[in-house]
Amino acid sequence: MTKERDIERLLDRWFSERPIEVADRVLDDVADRIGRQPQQPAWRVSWRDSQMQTNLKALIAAAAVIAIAVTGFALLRPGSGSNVGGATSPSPSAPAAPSASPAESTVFPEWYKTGELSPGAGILPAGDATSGALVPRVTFTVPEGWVNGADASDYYVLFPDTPANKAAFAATGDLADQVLVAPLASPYFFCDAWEENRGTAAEMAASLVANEALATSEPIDVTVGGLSGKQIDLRVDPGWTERCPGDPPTSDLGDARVRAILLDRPERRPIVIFVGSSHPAAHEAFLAETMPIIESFEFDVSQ
Amino acid sequence: MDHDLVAAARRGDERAFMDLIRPRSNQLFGIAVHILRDLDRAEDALQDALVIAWRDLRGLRDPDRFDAWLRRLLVNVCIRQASRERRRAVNLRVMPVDGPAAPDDLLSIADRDQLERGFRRLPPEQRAILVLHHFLGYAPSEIAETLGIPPGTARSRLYNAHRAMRAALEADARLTVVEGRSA
Repeated sequence: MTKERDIERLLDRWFSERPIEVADRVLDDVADRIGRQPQQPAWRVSWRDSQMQTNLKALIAAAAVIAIAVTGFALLRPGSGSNVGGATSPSPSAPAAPSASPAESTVFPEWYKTGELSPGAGILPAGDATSGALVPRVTFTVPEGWVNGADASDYYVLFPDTPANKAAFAATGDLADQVLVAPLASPYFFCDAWEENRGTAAEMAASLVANEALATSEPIDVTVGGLSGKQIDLRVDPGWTERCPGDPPTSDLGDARVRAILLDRPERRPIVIFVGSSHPAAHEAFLAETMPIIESFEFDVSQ
Repeated sequence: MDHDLVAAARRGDERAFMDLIRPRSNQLFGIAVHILRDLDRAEDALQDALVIAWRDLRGLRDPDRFDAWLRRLLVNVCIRQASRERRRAVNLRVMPVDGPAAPDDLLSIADRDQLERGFRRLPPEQRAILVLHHFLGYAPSEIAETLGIPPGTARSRLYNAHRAMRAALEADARLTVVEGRSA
């Protein structure tokens, strides 16, 4: 049965032999699970699903990579140890009353609905914190009022429990300000048709600068948690009126601001830290609050 | 209209999402069953893929691409799950082969068993390619879109998958002969 003539015909017939029907309980379970699973903002999606390689991914990431307040660049300053910018003291918001959590020991703000696929550690006590599932593991120091919203092997989210995030989440299901940490080959797929670079942090930053659709700061050298790389601030260029090839006419690239910190690892994909704000006016303050936390990052590069 | 259902689901309408996936569920389940060769794991994969689809639906800017996007999510979930299982060397529950067959069925039980064994020897990525081509009837260009790879790559991978399947069947046939002689 293994002759050349047979293989395709046999496979055609084999796959069509039995009608396959899914049991109702499977869909019932799905309905139950999505009732507990909040939808995520579009700009988070792209770097989580790194296998997605279409214009869709480009679009999704566009809404993410968008960003920068050139003024935010002024906050950068050299420092000892970690020399990423941002020097102001953190200003945590008043913590909300905790709510029921997916795990007994995990407590989230009452307004936040965590996902079941990669739930984070919830409200973090002030002091040292360590990721659980993210590879590589990261340890850092947080002030009071911060939340770990998701923790997966390739995706880690931090956000402050602030009125702005609460309001945004209530209105749209999105967070206004958040930090993402992810190991990635290419975090900025702005346009799939243009995307070629999957190299080092420096090469990725250079590709961002060269992207005609983005307005960027000049990449600067950074060291975070013993890893060196590039830091760059981005937004969609306000003067860019085109769309990525294949984009639907109604595509909206948004006006978010993002600081991307790209860190090289030996023989591994770079790690990317995104600091994103959906409201441009709030980005500088968020950077000032966030950068001290990022400066405290220590990665377990043995993983 | 699906376009409207996608739009409503993107706004958080759970009922719209379920209305959207219900008519697609059997075909999606079929994809998972054929790649994973295990009914329980196929159910798990389908559920996970649909929950991920719900979670990430706001990233879908073009509702017309919903089906391709959803199939890609499912195939990726199946490949990841199958890869984990291969690493763990778990003995999966074999799919029953005595279900209702098509009236023009010409495959013998021996053929089915041989196909099953040969198919299981393939890496998950090659299984997925064969399922997309032979179960869904996808051309290489459609496989390329679903897997997010260039069309030329899809063509070569499909060719390699057929070749690997042929080699697996031939190896199985040789093994059967040897076992028959030694029995």
